[in-house]
Amino acid sequence: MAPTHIRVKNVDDDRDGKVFTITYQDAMQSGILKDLISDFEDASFVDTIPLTGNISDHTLSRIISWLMIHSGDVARATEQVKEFLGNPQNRQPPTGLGMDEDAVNKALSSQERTLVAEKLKTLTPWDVQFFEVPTDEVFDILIAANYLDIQRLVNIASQTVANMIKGKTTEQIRDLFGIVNDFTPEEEDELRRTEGWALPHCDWTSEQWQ
Amino acid sequence: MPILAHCTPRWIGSATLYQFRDEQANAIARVARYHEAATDRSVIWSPASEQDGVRQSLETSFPRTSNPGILLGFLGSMPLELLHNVFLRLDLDSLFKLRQTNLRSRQAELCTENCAPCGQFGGFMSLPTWTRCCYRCMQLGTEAQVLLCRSKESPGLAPFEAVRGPAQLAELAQKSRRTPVSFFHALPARHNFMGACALPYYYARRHGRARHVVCWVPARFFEQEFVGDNLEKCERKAGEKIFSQAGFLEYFRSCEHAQLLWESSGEGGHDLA
Repeated sequence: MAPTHIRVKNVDDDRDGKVFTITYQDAMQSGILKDLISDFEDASFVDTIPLTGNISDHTLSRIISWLMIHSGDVARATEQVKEFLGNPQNRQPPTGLGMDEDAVNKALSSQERTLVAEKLKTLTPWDVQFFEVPTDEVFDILIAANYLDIQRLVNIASQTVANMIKGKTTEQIRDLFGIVNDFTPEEEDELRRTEGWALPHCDWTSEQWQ
Repeated sequence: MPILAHCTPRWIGSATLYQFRDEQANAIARVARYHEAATDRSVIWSPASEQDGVRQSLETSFPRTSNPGILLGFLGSMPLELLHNVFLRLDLDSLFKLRQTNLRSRQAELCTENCAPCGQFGGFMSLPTWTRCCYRCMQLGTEAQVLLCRSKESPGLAPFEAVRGPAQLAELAQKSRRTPVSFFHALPARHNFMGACALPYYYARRHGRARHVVCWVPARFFEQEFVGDNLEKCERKAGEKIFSQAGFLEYFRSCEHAQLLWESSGEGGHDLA
């Protein structure tokens, strides 16, 4: 029988991290926790699951809060999609598309899957606020989510990092991520010469390149 | 092909993985697979002369290794697959600016051969989404599909220009006086047209670009059964799909028909008719 709650803690470098309690349902969103729980269940032993992904207690607590908030997302999205498709008006294709009902019905399962996936991709205001943290913390969450195999969180975090880059100049990107410019003056000249065609309005031609 | 003629026309997986030497890979590929030229009728094209001036700067980095101590800052702390996950979400403008931050960022490769929706090999580029997609997702995945719609029935949907090709969208569009639009934006209707074009991918083993390939077996075995039929049915019958070069060799190890084809050719000694 599946346990109702799971206890997890970091055990890296002989460090005994803080023990966190998480519901079984929340934990199932993580591929790693799912596998570990399954392993421990096989061994008839469910106590505290050790994590070795070099995740700090702070990051783990943040991730657990994300899991708690998003626990019922898949069920909710599926319900909403089914409700949408269950409405006879919505089951019809857009007016005059020339589709017969059989064709639409055959498409339902595929549509359901796609619509649920699309709903789950949407960044909620809570998610946006969740990532309003220092840059290093965003990366910690992304790397930890990748280790814990929480694909939705990985995607949302990756999108957040991408959004941080968008619209910034080269110099601003360097400042944001702490990237050191190691181009030689000759290489910078060549960049201006060979790639100036692509972004004539960008900062390559500004004073910071001189 | 006397041996092949007696084979049951269904895909047979071999019990054990077929073993071959590395140097036989090219010969196996020559005998047992082909490139579906019809899918190369690209809807995106520009003269090679226009690309010559920029190709080198895009394909190469500066001829020196970056200082190991100078990395990508926070970005450098991520595994490569996460870095690619972020890069793939950037617009071209941002990607170019990121590429100019330092030598390491210029050397970071952004190459993928995988279908964005399903992660399998994706030999095509979806025009509505501008992401890689496989043949299956192009047909069944809602993100990449295109349907025909009368203009007054699709307010606000951007129309695509139909061209002649394997999917015959142009002919159908003309006949029905309808305009191809993105399926995704016209949900929940559904139709199967190709809103994509073939796109080569970077093949690391050869340090160059490569094109998708198809196993010869469906075309040879089921020729009688599918005269005049399209690739999709052959694929479905074979239970397989369009491959990358490396993916085909993996498939070959477990496809008895393809192995017979290879052996019938005297292990590449002579071409089959």
